[in-house]
Amino acid sequence: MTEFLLAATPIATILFLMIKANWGAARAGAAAWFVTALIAVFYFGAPTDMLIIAQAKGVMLALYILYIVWAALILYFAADEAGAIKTIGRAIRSLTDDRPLQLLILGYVFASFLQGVAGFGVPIAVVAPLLLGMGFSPVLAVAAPMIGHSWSVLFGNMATSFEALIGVTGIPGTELTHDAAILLGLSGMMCGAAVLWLDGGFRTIRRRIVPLVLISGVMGVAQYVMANYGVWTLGGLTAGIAGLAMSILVTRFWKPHPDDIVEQVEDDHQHMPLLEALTPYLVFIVLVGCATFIPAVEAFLGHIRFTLDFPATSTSLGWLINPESAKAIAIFGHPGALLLYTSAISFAFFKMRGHYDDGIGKRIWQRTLKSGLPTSIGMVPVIGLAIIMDHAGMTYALAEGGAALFSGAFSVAYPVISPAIGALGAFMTGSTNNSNVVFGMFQRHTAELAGISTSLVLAAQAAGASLGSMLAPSKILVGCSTVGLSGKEGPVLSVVLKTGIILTLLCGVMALGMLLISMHAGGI
Amino acid sequence: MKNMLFNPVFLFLASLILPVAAFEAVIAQSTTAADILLGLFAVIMALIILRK
Repeated sequence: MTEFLLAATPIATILFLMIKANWGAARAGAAAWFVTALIAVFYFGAPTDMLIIAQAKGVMLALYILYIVWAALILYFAADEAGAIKTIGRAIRSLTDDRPLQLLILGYVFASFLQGVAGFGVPIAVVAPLLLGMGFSPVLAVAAPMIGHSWSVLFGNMATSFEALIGVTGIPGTELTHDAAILLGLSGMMCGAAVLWLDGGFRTIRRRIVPLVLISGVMGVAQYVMANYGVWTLGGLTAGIAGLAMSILVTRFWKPHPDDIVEQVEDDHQHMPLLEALTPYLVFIVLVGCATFIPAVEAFLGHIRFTLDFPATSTSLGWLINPESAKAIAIFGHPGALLLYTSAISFAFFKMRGHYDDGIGKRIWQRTLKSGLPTSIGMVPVIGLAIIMDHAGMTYALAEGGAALFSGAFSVAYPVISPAIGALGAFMTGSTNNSNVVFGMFQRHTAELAGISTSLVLAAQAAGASLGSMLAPSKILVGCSTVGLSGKEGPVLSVVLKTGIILTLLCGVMALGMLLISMHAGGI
Repeated sequence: MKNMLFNPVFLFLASLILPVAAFEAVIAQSTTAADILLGLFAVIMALIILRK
């Protein structure tokens, strides 16, 4: 019990400082880093070498994420200075007058699509400023894509985190896809409902239940089909494309409720054509497509890689971390590099079309610096403390404490807590992939000991880890940096935390329901 | 001096460089250097807390 409470202290510290004391993520993260280091050394027996190795791994992961953050900021400001963001916002407003439906299409469908092609915080970095430009509040602009894209993380971005789960547990992907795709499909609908709920509560969901069911249904089915036909690497991307197509179809017949019609702002400003405004994002999709699906391009861009090899390390209590390499940063093939190429092409294009005034380069750089620096300072302590917790065995102690509640006669209810453990891992490590790596085997062993379906428990872990990515402080930092909320991340965390906990619990209840149905059918 | 210590660019770069330098010191089996660099990193964390 002491282990569990001490392991939970860093999380409690960061949540208290951000939500109650209203500290920014950088200050709260640095304070929690001290708490983590002290507990890791004095209770969990972590030597200073382990702290150094964990922190160096944290720096490598931070560099990986910050490459995307800085490049996404440059792209956004290059597009914004040209007037492209205003044009896109106006186009979506003209697609439908229904304000919550606009939020659903951008914050849920478009964010899921971007998760399918890029991931690593790109959906939030791209969608949050678009929503802000359309008049949504900064907190809502960040929270909506964070919640909306989360269900798509497992099978998005070439399903890297699903591959990690397969790799670490040794269970074939074909045995996991059925349960995982059903759980995530249902959770996806919940995420869409949560995005609508943010804009006006249950009344907003009730009024838009038809578009929500149609869009999320098509996305869930598309993902299920792709995953179960063995093409899970394209599951998230296909779901995103299907969702966008259905969204356009839905707006053709959908009549908005009079209360929710967005006010049309008289605008005499000369806007560029929509296709021109979408150029940066179309170029990005083409570049990602080339870098992903053309092996020669992928090999060429991925040729120069930067990584560090870390030795094994262990605590005095015997918790062992095996030798591993840091996530390699392909200097020219990283998603951040693709965003930089896109920025350069878009900048040249908008410049040629005469959309920029004098001194544009300096202006874009100053805006990027102002938004990017506070985020960057916060990234290192937040990621560092998560990896220290993992290496010292604190994250495992947390999960073990939670799982202990469901031993013996309560073991049948374990699927309820299984997604929560996955979400905890994603929250602490900032990555669905890492959560699956850290907790994959733990979940498998617990399911085997409890005598319940291993594939269902692992699917629940994966679904929880996917949903939990919405809670990752590093992603909140990314989103806040793009809407001018740097240093004021507390309100966003508060909204996302409440929603994330509810969605994870619902996912657990659905997993339990699936277990009971399979038991009833005699298929344990 | 105070401005330099709380400069965001300085804090950001120091928080990136110090852990990697400490790690290189660990690999080179220079324990004292590694501990000093980790201590300096802890100072940077303290500066981030104090920076409003």
